[in-house]
Amino acid sequence: MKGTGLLNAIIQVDNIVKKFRGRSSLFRKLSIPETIAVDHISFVVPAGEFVGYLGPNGAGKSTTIKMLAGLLVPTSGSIHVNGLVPWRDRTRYVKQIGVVFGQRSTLWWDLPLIDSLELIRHMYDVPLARYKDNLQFFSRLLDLDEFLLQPVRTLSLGQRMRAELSAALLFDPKILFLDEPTIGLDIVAKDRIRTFLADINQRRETTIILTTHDLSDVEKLCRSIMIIDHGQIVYGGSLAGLAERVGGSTTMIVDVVEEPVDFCFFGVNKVTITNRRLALEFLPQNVNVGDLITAISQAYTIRDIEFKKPSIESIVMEIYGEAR
Amino acid sequence: MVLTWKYAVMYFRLLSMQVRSQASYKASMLMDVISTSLYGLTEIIGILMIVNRLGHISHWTTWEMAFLLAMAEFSFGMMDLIYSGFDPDYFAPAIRRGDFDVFLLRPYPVTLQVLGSRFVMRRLGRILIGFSVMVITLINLKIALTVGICAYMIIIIFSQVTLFGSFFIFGSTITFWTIERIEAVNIITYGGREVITYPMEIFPVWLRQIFTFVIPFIFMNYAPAVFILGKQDMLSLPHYAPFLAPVISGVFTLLTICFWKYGKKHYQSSGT
Repeated sequence: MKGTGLLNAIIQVDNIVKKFRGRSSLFRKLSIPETIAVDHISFVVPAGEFVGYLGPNGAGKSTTIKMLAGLLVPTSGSIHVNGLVPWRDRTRYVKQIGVVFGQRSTLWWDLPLIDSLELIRHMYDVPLARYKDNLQFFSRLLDLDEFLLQPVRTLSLGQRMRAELSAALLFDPKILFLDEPTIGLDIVAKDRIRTFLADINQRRETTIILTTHDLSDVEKLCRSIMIIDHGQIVYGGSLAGLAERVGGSTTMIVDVVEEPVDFCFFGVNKVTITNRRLALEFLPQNVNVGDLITAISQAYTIRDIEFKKPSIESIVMEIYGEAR
Repeated sequence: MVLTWKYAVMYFRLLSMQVRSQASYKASMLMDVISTSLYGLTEIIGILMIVNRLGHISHWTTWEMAFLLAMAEFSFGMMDLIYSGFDPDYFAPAIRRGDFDVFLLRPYPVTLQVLGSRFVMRRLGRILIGFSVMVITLINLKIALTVGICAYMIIIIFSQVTLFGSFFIFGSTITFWTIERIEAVNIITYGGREVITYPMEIFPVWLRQIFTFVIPFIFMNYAPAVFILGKQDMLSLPHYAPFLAPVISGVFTLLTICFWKYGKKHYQSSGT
């Protein structure tokens, strides 16, 4: 993801900065100092990528997404998406992107869902045959049929999200921006949406940028991730690379019959002994686990062994912490 | 030309969504139309009863006053219907909800989408009342409805609609900065509507000067009514006074469009 000049780059962001002027309202004497929401960010997203965009609240995530979608103009720096500058040439640009905000609706509340989809077909000049194909496809994967004729206001949260996704993808956009699409959904609904997104990404090669606080979304879907904190990208790369970057150590927990007194092994960084249990912390690349187990079994009688890898939550927490 | 046609079609599609949305609550819509009609009617009757009691206000008879009232009622109702989306009371919370972002994400002009985002059908009540009273008074005052007079009235009503519409756009644009709607804007919208329903002679000179040189309400309803009803002009306005309405509303519309564009730019650089 890092490095510029990739041939198939669909999103190219160069050194963007977004400052918000402090609010100096005429009518209310509240002065808020200038804030830098995004501080010199650069990245490239290859076409067809599925990117997870993470960061704590207020880190600059949604500001970045808004700039990518053309809703905000950066203070400096440049953005090119599929050869276009998002905030210039707005009407041409928005035909190439689908945007779903988890918290707000783009559909017509009091009308059956089908009416909204029909209108979107006209708005984006989708040929009738293509529209029918897409509708059929979404119906199959998202069971739209169940509620196609129901007013949008009567849909459940999960149904509404499926409807929003269909609306955003009806005109075959090249890029899909998703802002917390699984927020508030139950496990079944989440899973269905994830399966759908993976399918869209693979079959249609739609580039997807996903922001979420649900790291299981990221684990299941994203091939690469970016983490932003305090307006700067603190990590960009693969999910596996993330664990290495933090130095994710493995913990081996060994239950033994005897009461252990002490244990040492080259490469093991930390040994904790509690009530017939040894907890050994080490970096996987420094220790041969087979040798380690042999060494323990020579000293004690082993009853059980368990390995604990760092969870993605703990890794991400660590990265957020680093930047502070 | 092709683009204009495309936009017009989309505008009517959006309106049809609004009408159908409201039609899904048929009973409520009907009640709304009836109650706003009654509201408009009682307002007009209330004023007319006072005029009737006094015999006249300034040198305006009850029927002449009714005409002045009805024309304002009709065009303000039309404005309130067509510019529903720009009503600051609606626009400010819509911005906070993020509706404006949704408009920016669609491949049509934002202004068209705002106009198509709301179409309050209950305004039909006041429009209907305004129109009926206008017709009744014209018949009663035996005004010959020549093609010329009809065309003139259409232009005047159009001017009133666009003038008050530009006040709505102005009030909504301000909310890009203030987030909350500004109560003071109501002075020119609802206050202005009130002002044009009275004969201008009744106001003190300083106020009349404001309505002539600052916000020229005097040329919007009073001067045209004097012209249509063939009354004697007590204020000795220039002879071209009845024809200034379209010019004034044109200037105000142009200014607010510039302000609106500037506001949109501000929104895209600051977000909300």
